[in-house]
Amino acid sequence: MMKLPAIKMPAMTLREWDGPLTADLVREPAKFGLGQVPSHLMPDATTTAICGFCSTGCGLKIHLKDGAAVNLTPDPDYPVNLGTACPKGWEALSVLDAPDRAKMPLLHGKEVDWDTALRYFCDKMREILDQHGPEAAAFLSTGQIMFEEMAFLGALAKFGMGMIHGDGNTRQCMATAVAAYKESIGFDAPPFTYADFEESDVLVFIGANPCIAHPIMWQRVLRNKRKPEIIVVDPRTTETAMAATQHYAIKPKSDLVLLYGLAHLIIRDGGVDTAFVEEHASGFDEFVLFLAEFHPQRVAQETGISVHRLLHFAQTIISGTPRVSFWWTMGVNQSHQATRTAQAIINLALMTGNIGKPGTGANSITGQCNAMGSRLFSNTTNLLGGHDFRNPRHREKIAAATGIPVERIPDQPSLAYDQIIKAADEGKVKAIWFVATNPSHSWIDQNEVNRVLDKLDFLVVQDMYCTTETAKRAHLVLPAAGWGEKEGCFINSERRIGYSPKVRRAPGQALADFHIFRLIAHYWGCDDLFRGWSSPEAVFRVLQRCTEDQACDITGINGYEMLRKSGGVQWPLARDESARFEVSSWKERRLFEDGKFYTPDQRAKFVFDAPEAAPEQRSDEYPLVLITGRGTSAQWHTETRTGKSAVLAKMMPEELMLDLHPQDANTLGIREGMKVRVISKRAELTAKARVTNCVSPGEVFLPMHDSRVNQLTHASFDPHSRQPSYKHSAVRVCV
Amino acid sequence: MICDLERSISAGGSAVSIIDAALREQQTLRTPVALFADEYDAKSVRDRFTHLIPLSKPNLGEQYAFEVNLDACTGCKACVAACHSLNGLDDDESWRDMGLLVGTRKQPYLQTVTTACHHCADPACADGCPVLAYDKDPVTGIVRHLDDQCIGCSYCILKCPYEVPKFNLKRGIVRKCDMCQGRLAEGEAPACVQSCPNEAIKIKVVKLDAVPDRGSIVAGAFDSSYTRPTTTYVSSQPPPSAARPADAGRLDLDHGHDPLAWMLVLTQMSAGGFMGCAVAMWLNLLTMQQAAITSAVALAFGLVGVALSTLHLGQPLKAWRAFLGWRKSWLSREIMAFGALPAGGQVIFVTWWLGNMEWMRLAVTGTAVAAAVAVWCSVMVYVDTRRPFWCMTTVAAKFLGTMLLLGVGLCAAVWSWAGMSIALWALAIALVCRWSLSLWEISSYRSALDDEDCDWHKSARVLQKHLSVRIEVRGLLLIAVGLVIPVMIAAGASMPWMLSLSLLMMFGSQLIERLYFFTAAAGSKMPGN
Repeated sequence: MMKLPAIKMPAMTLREWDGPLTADLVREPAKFGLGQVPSHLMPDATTTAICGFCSTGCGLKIHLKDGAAVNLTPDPDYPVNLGTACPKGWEALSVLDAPDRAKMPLLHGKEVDWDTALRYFCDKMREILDQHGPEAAAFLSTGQIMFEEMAFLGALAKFGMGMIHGDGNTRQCMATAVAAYKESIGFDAPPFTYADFEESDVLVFIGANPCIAHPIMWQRVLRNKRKPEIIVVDPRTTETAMAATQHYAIKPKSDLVLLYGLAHLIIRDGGVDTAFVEEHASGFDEFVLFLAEFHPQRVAQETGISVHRLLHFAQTIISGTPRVSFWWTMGVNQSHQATRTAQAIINLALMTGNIGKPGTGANSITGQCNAMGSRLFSNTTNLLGGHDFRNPRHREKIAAATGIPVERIPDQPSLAYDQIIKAADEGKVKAIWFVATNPSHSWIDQNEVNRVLDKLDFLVVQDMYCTTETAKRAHLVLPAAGWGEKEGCFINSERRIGYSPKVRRAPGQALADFHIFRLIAHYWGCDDLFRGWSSPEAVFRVLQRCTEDQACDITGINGYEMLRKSGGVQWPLARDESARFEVSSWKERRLFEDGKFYTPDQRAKFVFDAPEAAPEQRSDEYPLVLITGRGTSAQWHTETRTGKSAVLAKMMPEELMLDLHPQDANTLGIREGMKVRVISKRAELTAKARVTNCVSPGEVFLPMHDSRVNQLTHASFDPHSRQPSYKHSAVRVCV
Repeated sequence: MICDLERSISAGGSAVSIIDAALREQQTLRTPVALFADEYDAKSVRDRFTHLIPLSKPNLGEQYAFEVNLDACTGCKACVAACHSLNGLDDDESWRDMGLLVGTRKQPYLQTVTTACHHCADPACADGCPVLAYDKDPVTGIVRHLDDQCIGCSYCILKCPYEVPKFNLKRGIVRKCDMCQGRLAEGEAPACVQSCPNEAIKIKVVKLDAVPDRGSIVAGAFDSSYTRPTTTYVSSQPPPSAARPADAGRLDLDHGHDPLAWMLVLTQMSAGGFMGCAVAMWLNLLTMQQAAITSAVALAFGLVGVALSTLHLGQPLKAWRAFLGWRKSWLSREIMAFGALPAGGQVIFVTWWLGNMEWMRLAVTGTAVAAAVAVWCSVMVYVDTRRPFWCMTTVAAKFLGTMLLLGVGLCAAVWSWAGMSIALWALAIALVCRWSLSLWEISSYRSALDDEDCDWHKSARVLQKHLSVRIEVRGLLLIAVGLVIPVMIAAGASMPWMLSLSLLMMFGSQLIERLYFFTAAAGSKMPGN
């Protein structure tokens, strides 16, 4: 019999001040320093996790009920975010409940049990490796999982399964900073701490839009009490540019010329810290010679910035010294001469002595939550702990630290991401195992990469969601637990290692990446190699041993408990420093205070090269430059997670918007809100026009989150970092 | 910690048992102690925000208000997310929104604007609520919504020029920002204040006298004279004069209120029918029986209209309180006035039963007057929202015009079925009404479309963009009703059938108009994206 719902008659009083609907919104005082919280989400305990979206690395206080997370608030005691978070952080839990979470392994789109999936995975990989050699299978991982997991993946694939090649999506975001730092200062070591935002007199942001991309870092800028000059170099008038005191809207990809021009003017106008340069750097004389031709007139012509404004820019740096900090992110990293551009920034900091002091530094703001962990521990380009695969002593050291027989460690580094894709196109790579990344959406010249992926004999995707563009192409999908459903550590932009706990159960049969790797090791039959790798914390200890005597030495960290109690620990912390570690005074540490760099001669190097034009130039047929970048603070990369939150969805435009200057709009007969076609040599898409001064004439902008945008982008790469150049493609726009 | 999985592997378990161990481990959560849980008595959130909220309660003549420092608002939208999370709201519900102001080519400008309820000194939502589901706190001035009192009529949504109250479909009521009054009472900051990385949002005490009653609180916001919003937006660089909301040019359809559209047209037809009946009775053109039939038909349509309007309520069982707001709410008055329809109907029935023509004439006239008053209340319900599309002349002409048109049309149809000759007169009047109403509508639409300064230019553009097909259909209906049917009648087609068809088509035309009356209203709002 059908049961009728009980109809509750309303109260017969004239006004109902209370009742069930009112009760829905009642807030009650909670303990744990939370203040009032919704009654239906009352926690019985709280713990702190590190946010798993961007590299800011905010501490989030997780509200627990019976051990499971029910809500979260930003952690007021965490030294990074001081009690605030951006919308992505606030919504970190809700995206775990999405209906399209991968709950079972999928083989050719059909649900199978783990035993079948793992057997298939191992059989297929072994068949390919046996038949075609160790270069025939590769893994492509991520900056989104914990570094203990990354290390496990890198070690399992290379030492256990015998692969040679593996890379990560960090190639798309941080490879340039890595290459630049390594060559210039001897190690991939961003020198800053977030307090530098607050202690600068001049902050120079180059190709960075922290208001939107790193809102909590921008909070630190606004906490600066020194009334700083904030300079933004960006072709677009971004939110950050609007908030800046000086904005230089350079022509796209004229940043290298601008930076050399500034160096020229700083030398001319006596802004060089001669003592610092003589004592701590090399190659300055050659640099001075090289700069001779970057006179202001030339630079003005090539950048579109007047001579007068160039002088003002240089003067601001000179007068702000020694408290000038330089910050860069994707506008620099994603370009055809990215490494040299980043090094041009490092050069400016070196020549003015703006490094190793409060409020200074040539500072790369990282992208993903664990891009820094990936740089140290992914075991792709570098051997674990920032070591070199080619160096026999390094291989011995890592063998000893990990207990892996040395002959299992390859003597060559991996191919870079684009080279792996190219090798796949040439039929040399037959299988790729993607972990927590979505290249079918995010990789440059997307149609091309999808064509290659479709050629693979075996495509495995290990992800939280079975609906990503890449997972839909996969032969095998391994369902992974997400952030909050597993434990481990992240390293943020300022080298801070933070611990993130497991506070949720994963849906269905999804498993932590760590467990998936452990199971694969078992099914592969290399259990013995990973005997000691029993838990993330055990791997953490293995990795600590790997960093011994490196710039990134973390042997002084006393396990997860120390990380948790001290609000994270910035590397380095060597064993002998451990006893002296004090939470209060060691909360914010910067590098190079003694002027000694990580190069063999302890001197930083001036590295430079002649600027070249971007590979794809405007033409009559494609007269506009397409710049891509982040849309809003509520969106993250390919939106596999942020796309799942209804609250975040409110904060994003409903349609893909193309930013177009009024002058171009006029010429093309385009009005605000019109549907327009954006066409490059490679593809075409439709978007809605937003006519705005925020882009310059001749330039258009599309946010990268829409899955079609990378069909348009032109695939070119920085020769040193192999990072794709997403910021300069030629397009035409028409109605 | 040695885990399940590892133990199983060391024990040399079978593959399946190892997988089971992994799955088991995945589903096991650690105890708070093992998670290094925080101290139970950690420092309270209270101490961190004392500089962003008032230290004492407002005095007499003062109230709490939001103050937004635009210089510090960079559009990160943490306030929107925090409002949702810290208040335990539904999926996509948040009481803060983020908009954007933009400049022009000559005056480039970009400013994000966070916005929530302005806790107005003179809250239009509260004035409009028929059941007094709003309470402006006498001490704090916080405009609080009483969720259990709400009947879900959505009128406050129409009344608020800042798009603050939001309908919650799951619960059938409206919910809105209460400035986290419980938090403030305990000296804690509201969710949005707590969450802003740049401390852009503060709570201030403002003097009620000083709350502006002119201008607008920020570029693109509605004229403050209507509700006297208390939020202040401060900035070291005031927006340029040309700054406008980024969504100013967007021509979106508003939420439709279909049951209300039906209700309005049906009740107006009913009122018109009663009026036609009364006039004919005073002219002694109807017999008692004919008058009874005419008023019965008019009553039936009116009652159907009133009944349909309850479909519009999220909590119809609570609607009996709708009289409570009569002092200020035109909706409350409208609901009471339409109560005259069934009452009038009963009186008419009794007089007919008693066979007293004089009394019946008075009863019909009384009902007609009451219904006309109710229609007037309907007019005021919409005029009182101050939407440009719903200005007095437009709404009055549309509603009263519909009343006359459909009333006469109804009489004509009924009387022709009764074989009465005055049906022809009614037809003639209906034709005059039809042509004049339509021509007036077309010309005012045209001029609103052409004249950028016309108050409802935007509504006209919404009509043109989204609803032009409907306008064309109404044009065809006009030709049919105004030309084809009279010609066919003249050519000898059956009067009763033709007049019924004509009524049906006029009704359809007015219903179409009434549906877009809502969807093309282009209500005002705070700057959006």
